[in-house]
Amino acid sequence: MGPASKRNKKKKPSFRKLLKTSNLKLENKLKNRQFKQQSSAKKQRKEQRKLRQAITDVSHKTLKPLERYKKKPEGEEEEDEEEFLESLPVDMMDDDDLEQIRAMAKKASFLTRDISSCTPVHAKKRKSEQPVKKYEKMPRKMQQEEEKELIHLLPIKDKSGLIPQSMEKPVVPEAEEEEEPVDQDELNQEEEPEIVPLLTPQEQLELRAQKLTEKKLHMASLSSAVLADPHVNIKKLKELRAMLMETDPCVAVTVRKLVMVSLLEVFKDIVPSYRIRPLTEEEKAAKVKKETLQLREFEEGLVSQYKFYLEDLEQTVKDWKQKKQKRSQAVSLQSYKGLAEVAIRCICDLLVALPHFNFHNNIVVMVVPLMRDSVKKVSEMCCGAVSKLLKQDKLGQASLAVVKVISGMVKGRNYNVKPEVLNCLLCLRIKEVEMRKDTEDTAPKKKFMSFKEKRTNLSRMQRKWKKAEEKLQKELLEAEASESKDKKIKLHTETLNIVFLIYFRILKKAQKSILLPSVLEGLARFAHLINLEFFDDLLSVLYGLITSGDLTYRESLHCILTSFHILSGQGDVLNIDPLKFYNHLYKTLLTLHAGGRNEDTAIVLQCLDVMLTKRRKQVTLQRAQGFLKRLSTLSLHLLPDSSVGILAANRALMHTFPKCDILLDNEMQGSGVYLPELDVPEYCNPQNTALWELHLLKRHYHPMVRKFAAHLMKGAPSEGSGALSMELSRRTPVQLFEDYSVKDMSFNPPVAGPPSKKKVFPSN
Amino acid sequence: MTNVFFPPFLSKLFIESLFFKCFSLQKEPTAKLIRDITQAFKAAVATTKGDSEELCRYTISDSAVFNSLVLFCIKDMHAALSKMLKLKAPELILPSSSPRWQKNQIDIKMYVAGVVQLLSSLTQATVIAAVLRHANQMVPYYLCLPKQCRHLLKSLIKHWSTGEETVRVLAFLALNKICRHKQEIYLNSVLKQMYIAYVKNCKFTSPNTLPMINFMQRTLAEMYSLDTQVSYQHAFIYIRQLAIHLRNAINLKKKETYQSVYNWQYVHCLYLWCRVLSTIYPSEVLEPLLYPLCQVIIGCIKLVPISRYYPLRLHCVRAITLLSANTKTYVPALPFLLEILQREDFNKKPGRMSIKPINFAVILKLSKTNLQEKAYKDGLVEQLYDLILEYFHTQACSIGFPELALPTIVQLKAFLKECKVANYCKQMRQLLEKIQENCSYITGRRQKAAFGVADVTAVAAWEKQVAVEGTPLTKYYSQWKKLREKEIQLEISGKERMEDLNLPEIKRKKAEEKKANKKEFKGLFESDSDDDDDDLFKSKGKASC
Repeated sequence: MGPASKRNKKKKPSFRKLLKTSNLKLENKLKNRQFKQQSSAKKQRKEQRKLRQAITDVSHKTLKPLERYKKKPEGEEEEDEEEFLESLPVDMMDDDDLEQIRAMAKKASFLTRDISSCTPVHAKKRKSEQPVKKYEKMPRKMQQEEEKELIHLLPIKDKSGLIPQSMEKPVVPEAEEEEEPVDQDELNQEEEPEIVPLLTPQEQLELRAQKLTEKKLHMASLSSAVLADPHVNIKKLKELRAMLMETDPCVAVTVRKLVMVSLLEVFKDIVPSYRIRPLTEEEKAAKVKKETLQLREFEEGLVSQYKFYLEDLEQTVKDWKQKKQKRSQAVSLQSYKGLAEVAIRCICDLLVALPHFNFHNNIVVMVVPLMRDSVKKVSEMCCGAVSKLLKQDKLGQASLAVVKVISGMVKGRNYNVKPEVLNCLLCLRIKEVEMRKDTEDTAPKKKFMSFKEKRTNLSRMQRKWKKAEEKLQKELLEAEASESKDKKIKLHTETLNIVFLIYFRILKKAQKSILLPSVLEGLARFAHLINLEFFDDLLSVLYGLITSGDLTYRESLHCILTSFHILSGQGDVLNIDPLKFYNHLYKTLLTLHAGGRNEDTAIVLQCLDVMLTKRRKQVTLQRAQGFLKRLSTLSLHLLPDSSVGILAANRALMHTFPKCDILLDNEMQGSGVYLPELDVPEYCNPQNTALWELHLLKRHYHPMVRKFAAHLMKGAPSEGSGALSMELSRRTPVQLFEDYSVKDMSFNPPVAGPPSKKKVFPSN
Repeated sequence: MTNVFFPPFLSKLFIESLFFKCFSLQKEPTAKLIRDITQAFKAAVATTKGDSEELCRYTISDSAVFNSLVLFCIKDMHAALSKMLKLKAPELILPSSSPRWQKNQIDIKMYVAGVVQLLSSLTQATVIAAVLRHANQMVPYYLCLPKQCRHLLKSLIKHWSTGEETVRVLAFLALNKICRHKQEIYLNSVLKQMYIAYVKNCKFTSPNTLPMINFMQRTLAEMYSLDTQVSYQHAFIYIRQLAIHLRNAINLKKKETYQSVYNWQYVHCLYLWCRVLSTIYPSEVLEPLLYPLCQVIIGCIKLVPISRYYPLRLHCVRAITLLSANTKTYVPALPFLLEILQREDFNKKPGRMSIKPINFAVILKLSKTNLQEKAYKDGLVEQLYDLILEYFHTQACSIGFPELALPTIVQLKAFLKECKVANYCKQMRQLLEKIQENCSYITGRRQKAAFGVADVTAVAAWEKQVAVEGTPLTKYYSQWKKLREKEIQLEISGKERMEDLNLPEIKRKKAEEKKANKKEFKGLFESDSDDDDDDLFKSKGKASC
């Protein structure tokens, strides 16, 4: 253990550097990101450098365990190793290669293995890089170290970094030595050839369990101390966080995971409900009470710890993404994934739990790109967290941030993102936005009379009263936080504008992308909030989409729904005849059937509501009758829940257009015969047919369908013997459709018992 | 005496005395004689068991003796017993009512137990059939002896579910007889055991086993029709069980849980309940079960709607058709057939040629190679034709027929436009024409009607009238059915394949078979019509309750 001090010296810079880079990033994140994107080459070099440094460290330190395997002179070995480690980014490897490497790792140290087997795979890469490497070798090492010391953030680093190092000192030397040979799963890492070379697996397991218990106890005591009195024990947080740097290879992964999660819980508990802002110079200079000082200290410590924690999490994720062996190499490549998943889970939790606290934007920036991660588990986790955040967010600030970042990502990725990302936007809780600024502005002002008005209209006493009253009202308004309401609406408006920007961009530039369904769904959902200016273009785009024939049935339904949402709101001033949309819906109604997707019925029902019931004045009787007839025919061929929904829609139609009752008569009205196969509701002569299919439906196996059929047969009376019960008549078609869902084999209404049995056992 | 070896002369003597006894028994049965014969019979039966722990007075080791003894017993024992007990009308009265019953109960019990034992140890079908006939005669005696009766039932159910055709029929007759006479005691457990035996024995379906499974379905349905209240309990529990399986499969979405639904047992159970409900149709008690059963069948179709499971879907649709034809319930089935027509690309050149046609009646799942064969597409079109026609036939007289047919007409027209294979087009065009013909017929007739949609009774009367007069589709259907039956008969007799074992022809065949059997047994049964007697029994049993 002689060279321990030397080792530590070497170790320091690498650790410091880790913190430093991330620190920089958090402080001016954008700048750093740009910088990184621009100079990826530079980054690569940097990493190589780091690696090489690590390797040289290792080669100095690990002389002892290596003796056993050593077959080559040291210089060669170093080169080999370098080559190998460079090739470690496994993204370039096939699985087979990876397997091979793993196998070799089990056999012997990487340092001794024959590299030649790897060469074919990476021959290309190495060729291009070799000249660079040679240049780099000597001089840059110096340069790099200088660079580190030059950075002005050093003092802060040292402060926070000191304690962990002192912590690590006893552990580091042992750990460092065994790290290289270990490149397997966590469980396999328990080889400790140095301390007790002849440990049986049993003993190793025991040793590990023992260590783990110790660590766990330590963690628990620290966490509970912090929770017990966060103001006093904020320092313990540091200590706990330092455990994130756990280097003992046999417990490192587990301990790190545990620390991440426990820190998450601790932070969730002790973070105040307000954002902590940095103190101004004046505030710092001013004298304050002892308690205030303590509070300030606590807040400062908390913010910095939180920041470091986030940095650590981010670094973990990044390490996994880049698949580089870093961080003093206590953790194998394979376990990166597990670590990163835990880290991502922590980040996601924080995203949802602490939207008000500092650095939330940074968390958003971290999570959103992970929503399109290729690992399904990760992307699902992130999408879920974002959806949850959007659903919970009441202030609108967090939603805005998320939407902004998503918009940037969608555009930046050239619309190559998963539909799930856009589906998250459907969770936005936006009910109202500023449609026209002037109406909003004028409304509250009218409440208070101007001084002149008062003077002319009111007496002195009245004025006095009025004044007091107004004052009171203003106070009340403040108490109600109506200001925040305005602010919220403003935020919502901005958010929605960005959302629509995303949607319109896709509609315009990437109509063929897989995102189209989610765009159409989103448009249908927020259609009532779309600005009037876009209507004309949007309608023509939607119609183009429908007629193109590329859309699935569901997508075309979304198109229709969107257009009618637009038209039903402020769009009614537009005076567009959406005949084409009616015809399209009529034509495609029969696409719906029991064999296909049952969920589409819900959208059809919504469409029918907007198109027929809500626009009763613009719909001709012929059209209504045509729809009524076809819908009845359709209900013969659906699953029972859809049938109930459609029949309920028919009921609404009959109520909206009372003249539809001629479809219950068997008399010829005018000329022409009913043409069931014609695709235009106006011209199919619906007045000359009758709803005979109700008799088939009256024999339907589902009790509710029977009920509705009998009800419609009688002309859907709202009272009398043929009327529905109150609960049923109040439900909308969509609600009924959901009530009687057969998706999961639930029986609603429940299966009736045998009738004669009921007679024997009358229910009380 | 069991372990004593009979010297030859003794044996001969014994045999002689035995036959003498038999003769005298025929003439004038006495209790003593019956006891002796019974002992001998018991000994004979004991030899079939292999290891005989029971003590017998005699030992029968000669197969000739065994044969003649058993033959004598199953021929004359019933008559002798009734003579001895002085029963005036042996089929009408329970033997326990005889004053001599108490005295001879032990012997009769022994004999009756011996018959059951014999039944369970025999393997040759003709012998079993003969013994079963005897057991059938002896049913009144079993009814008086609960323990033996239970054993008999067990053995009967085993034969009913596993034996050969005649054996099954005979076993069923006996089962039915027992259950009708002592409903309150045996029906519940018999139904349960029969259902379990049915489920056990429909695991594998082949051209050979399918008729047996159909037979079991029919006979079980008959058993269920004995008491609708009891049947409701059973049907409710078992349909619920099916629904639970399906729900698990829907929720878990795992391969194993899919397997728990997509198997022959499940499909045959669905079919069984359809048959039960349609057999016992005008029944207020069982009607509420139509709704869950339909929902389970449709849920089953929709669970994994891929082309490899089309045969399963076709089975389900067939079950629906059966149900809706017999129960006047409307169940949508066409969408599931039309979806196949829509999804399958019939223009695509088949990847493999195969001579062997696919028998859709005995498969649930197609292999991937099957899907590429020409035989698959040929068979599929044929199946679709059959099923669509059959389904429309069930609704042909309904006033809403044109509306019911609309999607099919649209779809068939689209198909004819797309499809380039002349063979398929020909079939489908014919189907389309028939449907359209029926449509215009119904439309024309209902236009002339004087009532409105709301008039339910008038509509019912109208539909009845149309059914009596017949529509173009029903006429065509009956013609087609005859041809199809002939075709299938040819196929069956040629033993080439047994495709499309549609229900009606099987029904017909079975009915014939049953009749033939009955005719065959008539001589043996001694009484001219056991049905009448059974009815009398039943009424008597009820009176005694």
